[in-house]
Order: sequence, then C-alpha cells, then structure tokens
Amino acid sequence: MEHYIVTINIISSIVIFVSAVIVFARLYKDRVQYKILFGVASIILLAGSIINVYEHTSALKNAEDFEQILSILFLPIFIFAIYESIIGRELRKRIKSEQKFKGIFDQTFSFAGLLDSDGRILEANTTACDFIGYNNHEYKGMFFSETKWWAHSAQERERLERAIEQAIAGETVRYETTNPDINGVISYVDLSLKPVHDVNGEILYLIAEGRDITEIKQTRFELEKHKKNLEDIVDKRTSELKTANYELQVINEALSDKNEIINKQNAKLIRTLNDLKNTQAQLLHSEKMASLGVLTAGVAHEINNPLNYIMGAYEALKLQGENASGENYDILLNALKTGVERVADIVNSLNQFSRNTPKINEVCNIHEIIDNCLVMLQNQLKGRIDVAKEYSKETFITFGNVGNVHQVFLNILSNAEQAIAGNGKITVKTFREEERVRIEITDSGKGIAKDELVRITDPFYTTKEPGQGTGLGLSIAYSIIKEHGGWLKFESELNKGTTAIVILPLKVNSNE
Amino acid sequence: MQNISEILDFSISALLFMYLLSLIGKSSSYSKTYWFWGVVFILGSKANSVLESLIFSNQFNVFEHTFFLVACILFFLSILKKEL
Repeated sequence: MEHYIVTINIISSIVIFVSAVIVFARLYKDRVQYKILFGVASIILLAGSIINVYEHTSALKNAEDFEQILSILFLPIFIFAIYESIIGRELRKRIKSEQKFKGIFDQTFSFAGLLDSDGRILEANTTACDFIGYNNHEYKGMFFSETKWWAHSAQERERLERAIEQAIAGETVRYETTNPDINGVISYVDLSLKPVHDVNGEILYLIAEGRDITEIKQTRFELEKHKKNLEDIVDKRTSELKTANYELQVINEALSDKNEIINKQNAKLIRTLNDLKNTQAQLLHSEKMASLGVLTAGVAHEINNPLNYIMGAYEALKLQGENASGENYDILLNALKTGVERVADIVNSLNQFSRNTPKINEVCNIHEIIDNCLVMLQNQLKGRIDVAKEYSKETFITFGNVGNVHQVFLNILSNAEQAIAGNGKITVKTFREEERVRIEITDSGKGIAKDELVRITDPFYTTKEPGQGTGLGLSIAYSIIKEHGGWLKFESELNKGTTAIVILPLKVNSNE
Repeated sequence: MQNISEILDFSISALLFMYLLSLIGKSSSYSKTYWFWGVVFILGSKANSVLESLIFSNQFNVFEHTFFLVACILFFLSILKKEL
C-alpha cells in the first residue's frame, strides 16, 4: 500500500513539475498577474507532492504538518489565479472592443457626440473637436447649446435647444443648420439628435450626429443657378420661337395666296394642255387626211383598173346575151369577181387607214398592216419601184390603235417612195428580237445627210418643197411608236438609201 | 486537532470554489474544462483525507492520493490546452 502511494506521488510530482515548467516558460514571454499566481500554485503543489513522497518513505517524520499548510495554501491561490485569468480575459476583450469603437467614433467623417438626458455634452468625436478647435475634453459638462459650435448664431442656438427638448421627449430630430469652423467659416451641417433608451424606456443619452453638407449645398446652389439660367434660355428661345412662328404664319399666308394664284395658273395650263391635246389630235387627223388626199388620186386610179375589168366583162356578157354559155361565160364571171374583190381590198385598206378611234388595245397584225399600206401606195410604186417583202414566217401581233399603226407605216413607206427619184427598190424585212418585233424598211433612194438625220422626227421639219409636205409625218409616226412602247430610228447613207427601223413590243404571238 | 484542520481546509476550499463559480457563473461553460474537473478532484482528494482521518481507513488514503494524481493530470492538460 505504501509503495503504491509513493509511486502515485512520484508520478504526480513529475506531472506537476512538467506543468510548472510550461507555466514558467509562458510567464517568461508574458508577465501577467494570473500567470504568476499559476506559477506559485504549481510550486506549492509540487512541494506538497514531494513532501508526500518523503512522508511515506519516512525520511521526514513531521512532514505531514508542512504538507497540510501547503495544501491549505494551494487551492485559494489556484482559485484566485483562475478568477484572474477568466475575468482578466473578459476585461481585455472589453477594452479592445472599446478601443475599436472609440476609433470608429473618432475617425468617422461625421461629427458625433453623446449628450446626457439634460442636454449636457459628455463626449464628442475628434472630427467635431478638430472642426471647432476644442482640446482635452474642455467641452465636457457644458450644455450642448452653449458650446462653441453654436456661438455664431443665437437663432441656431435656440433652434438647437428646441430640438434637444424634442429629443428628450423621445423624438428623433433632424434638420439642416450651420456651424462655424475653427477659422469662423460657416459650414452647412445636417444635424440629427436621437435618444438612447434603457431597458425601462428611460432616456439615458442623446446621440448628436452631424454631416458637413456644405459641398452638397453649394452644388445645389449651382444647380439652382444653372436651372434658372436654363429656364431663362428656354423662355428666350420660346419667345424667339413664337416670333419665328408668327413670321412663318405671315409667310404661310403669303404662300397660300401665291399657291392660289399658282392653282389658277395650273388650271389654266391644264385647259391649255387639253386644248393642245385636242389640237394635236386634230392635227394628227388632219395629217392623216392630208396623206389620204395625196393617196386619193392613186387609189382612184387603182380602183379604175378593176372597174375597167368589171365594165369589160359586163359589156362582153351583154353582147353574148342569152347565148352566153360554156367556158367563155365562166371566164367573164371570174373577171367580174376578181374586179370586185380588188376594189373591196382597196376600200378595206382605205377604211383601215382612215378609221379614227381612241382605242389602244386593238389587235394589230403587222404584216397585214404593211400589206394594206402597200395596197394604198400601189399606184405610186407601180412600174417604178420594186417592193421586196422579206417577212418572217411568224405572225407578229401587237396591241394598239390599228389606224395609228397604219399611219406610221404609210408615212414611212410614202417617204421611202418619195426618196426614190427614178426606179428603185423598197425592201420590207420583219423578224423577232426577243419579245419584240423589228421591222426594217429600206429604200434605195438618195439618202439623208447626217445633220438632217437627227432632225427628221422634229415637228414641221421637211426637206420637201413648200406645199408638198407638212413636216409632221415622221414626227407623228415617232410619237405613235413611243405611245405603243416601241421606238423608231433611221439609218442612212447619202446616195445609197435609208433604212427606217421600227421596234414594237409583241403582246400575243398567234403561232404560240 | 488534525481532523479539525483538514475539515476546515476542505470547507474553505469548497466554499472558495463555489464562490469562484458564482463569480464567473453564467459567463462561461466551465463544466467542459479540464481545470474545473481538476479542482473537483483536488476537493475529492481533500474529502478522502477528511474521511481517512475520521474513519482511520487506509483505503481512503489510497483514494486521496489517486484523486490527487488525476487532479495533477487534469491541471497539466488544462495548461497544455491553454485554457487559462
């Protein structure tokens, strides 16, 4: 049993010794009161433990009393060390926290202060003190309204006193005020007073907080100034606009009058244009009639030939009387029929040419129209001019005014005929060019000089003797072709001949 | 005489310990610490010492020293863990 107790005490001594070493090592680094106490407690415990060993090994007979004293001393010291350690830690935490909040309180850009429930100033931050020039808490215990921050204006002081009263009554007060700085320069401050309550709702303190808003205020003044300027400019511009508007109204009225005059003149012009159109139509018809007049002699002669046929056949039949029979009789009847058909053809051609309708969607068979024109010119051409028809096998159809198209080809063919002084040749060629028909009428006449070639479609331009032509034929032909969506051009070489080229759009191809 | 001094020692120590606990009381959860149990075992050791002197049993002497050893180990751990 003794042996066991001695062993336990030896182990205890070793453990305490190691603990004491650690405690003293830490104490060397940081000499805090509670650590010293721990050190003392460790030594006492170690000593007690060692004495216990001696006691049980009977080296010291009176050791028990000494061990008793050490045992009584150890625990109070140790407990006091624990208390110091725990409470000291809390205290250090609190001091650190206070330092932190004091730092924030002092370093903030705002002015901050703490007032008691009577309005006496307890604390003010560094920003506020530096602003006015207070040192070493010289403001402490003064009524807030009697401090230097409010020395510049009795009115602001009174206002503050009222605000403090309101805050003491439990309200949070905020308003704009002014404070002088250390040099007496007045700054604008946004001040607020806020009560702090305890758990019972009693007011403990008032927090006073102010923000320097001088720059904001100045900016606001500047903005107001600019706004005023802007309003002035807008007013000025509005006035200018009104003047300009009035001027515009005057000009508008004048323009309106002029517009009325223009409208009247326009109506007059339209009437004139209509008159001109009517005149043009009349001219066109007159020209047609003039051509017809020129052709009449030839046509009359043409009709005379078949009439002679008919008359001859009639006389022969009359002589034979009732004895007429057989082969001879049939020949005479055929001669009569041929003569009548020939006259009918000529009359039909004349009819086609002379028709005067405003229709523009009639079917125009190009080959038939050219043939009709050649029939009408038969008398002028016969015996003097050979006509070569080199028609395409295709039938070319275009939509338009049949009478007008007749007039075009009659004018061109008539000009070709007149260009040939003696004997000559007229070649009429037709062929397709994509969706158009190209008609080339070439004569072997005297040709046209280049400077005249560009003018031949001009109205009233003629190379004929006065009284022999109006100078409107090709001009009218040109405008008719244009109306039909085609074009007309001439190629010529002096003493060799002229080619009139007519191109018209194909609307329907009967072969397709 | 010996008994009275041991009883007084135990009583004063126990009262001091309770007073300490009442001081630090709610601010920390000390029951989870080594030092708390170290002090408890020291008090246990003292209680055994009182019992030994009253009953004259060597058994309590063994308990007293065993409790003391456990208390020493707990203090060592408390110092090692920087609880204090």
